[in-house]
Amino acid sequence: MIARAFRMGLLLVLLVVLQTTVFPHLRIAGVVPDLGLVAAVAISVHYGPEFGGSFGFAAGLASDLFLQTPLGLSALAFALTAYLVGVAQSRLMRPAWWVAPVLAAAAGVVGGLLFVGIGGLVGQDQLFVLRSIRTILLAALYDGIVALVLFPLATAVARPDPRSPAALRAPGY
Amino acid sequence: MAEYRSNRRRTILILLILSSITLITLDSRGGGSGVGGTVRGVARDAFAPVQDGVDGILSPVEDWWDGVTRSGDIKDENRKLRRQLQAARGAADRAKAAAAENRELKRLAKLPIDGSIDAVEAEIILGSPGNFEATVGLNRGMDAGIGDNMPVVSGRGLLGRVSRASKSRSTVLLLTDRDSGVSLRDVRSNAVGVLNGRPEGSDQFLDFVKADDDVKKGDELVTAGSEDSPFPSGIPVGRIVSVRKRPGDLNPRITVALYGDASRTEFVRVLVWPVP
Repeated sequence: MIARAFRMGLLLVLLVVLQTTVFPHLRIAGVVPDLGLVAAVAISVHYGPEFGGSFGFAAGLASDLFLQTPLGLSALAFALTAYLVGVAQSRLMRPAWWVAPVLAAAAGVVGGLLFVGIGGLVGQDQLFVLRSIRTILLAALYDGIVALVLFPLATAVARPDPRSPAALRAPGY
Repeated sequence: MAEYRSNRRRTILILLILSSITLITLDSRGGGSGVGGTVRGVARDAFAPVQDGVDGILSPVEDWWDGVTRSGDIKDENRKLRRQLQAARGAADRAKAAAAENRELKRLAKLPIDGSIDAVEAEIILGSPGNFEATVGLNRGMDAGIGDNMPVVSGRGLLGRVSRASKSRSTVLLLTDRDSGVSLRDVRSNAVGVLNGRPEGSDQFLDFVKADDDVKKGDELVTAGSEDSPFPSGIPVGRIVSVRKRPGDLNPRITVALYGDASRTEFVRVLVWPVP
């Protein structure tokens, strides 16, 4: 349990460092992927919406620390998206290799819309512009690409410790 | 058992939503300067050495990769000569880069800004980590005398203002951010308008200029320095590239080319304004 929590903490730090230091230099068409969101969705798909949603909250909060928008906005968007994707995918059949990028891209669209929508409601009027749709769609595509690497990584890091109750419930990949 | 899991899921979801809404409300009310601002500052300072370290790690890896791709069969004279030629070109490129850097610093020193305003030199080290904002990160913060809302200029003109400063880092809200607005004055005619930020790559417009104001293509624009503006007057910002006036329009459509471009800037000056 402690080892898993420690691994999750390290994953969070790694994602924040990559998001703030490396990916600003790797913009494609002016956008960056939301690494925390993609990792949260991966965890939600494999280990359940509660765990994925909680990790999404933590990852979003970590992202918020480096953004101009209010603290908690990304946390809410990431948590809700990861939770919803986790609940929805439980009705799917055993996932194929292409499911990860497709789920991540879909989550990117949902997460982006939630971020802009909730942001607009709490006074971030500058987000309510048509160009935000373009940004959301491009970033979602980028999310799909990084999911090819990030899904297996996040799933491996979040794997429950052997003999823990969570390990017995985990569906595996 | 299934009902227990379902209740647990619902409870966690509600807790996450309530926590987020509480944080958003507290941070919005504090205007970024309350507990949220403090937590942000601490986090940015804590991550600063890690970010520096990653930058430091990536540079040698890049150099090593360059070295690998440039090395080859040393017995092959032709390839050796090509490598030497490449090395010479590389040195020339480095010299050009150094000269450009030198020019940038000289321009920075010559920018026509009121001499009574102190300035802090800083380097742009980070881009924006998000998709809905135009910001850059500087390598200096409050320890160097930088504070919130201070204007930031490059050698060419105004870039933006400091939106958040922690002890060792500052974030600059660029003029192209949708949350940015600055009142500008036409140097030739003294007509005044407002530049509201639009994303990089889009046209920038000078809004709220009266239809009968005298503005022409080529006019230079500087900060107006109005009473409630965070910018002193007279900082070069850009020039008018087109003016479109249509009958019946209350305001002309004025397109502006900005002088400052953060993507091509390495060194900046943060103006200590308002003067303490």
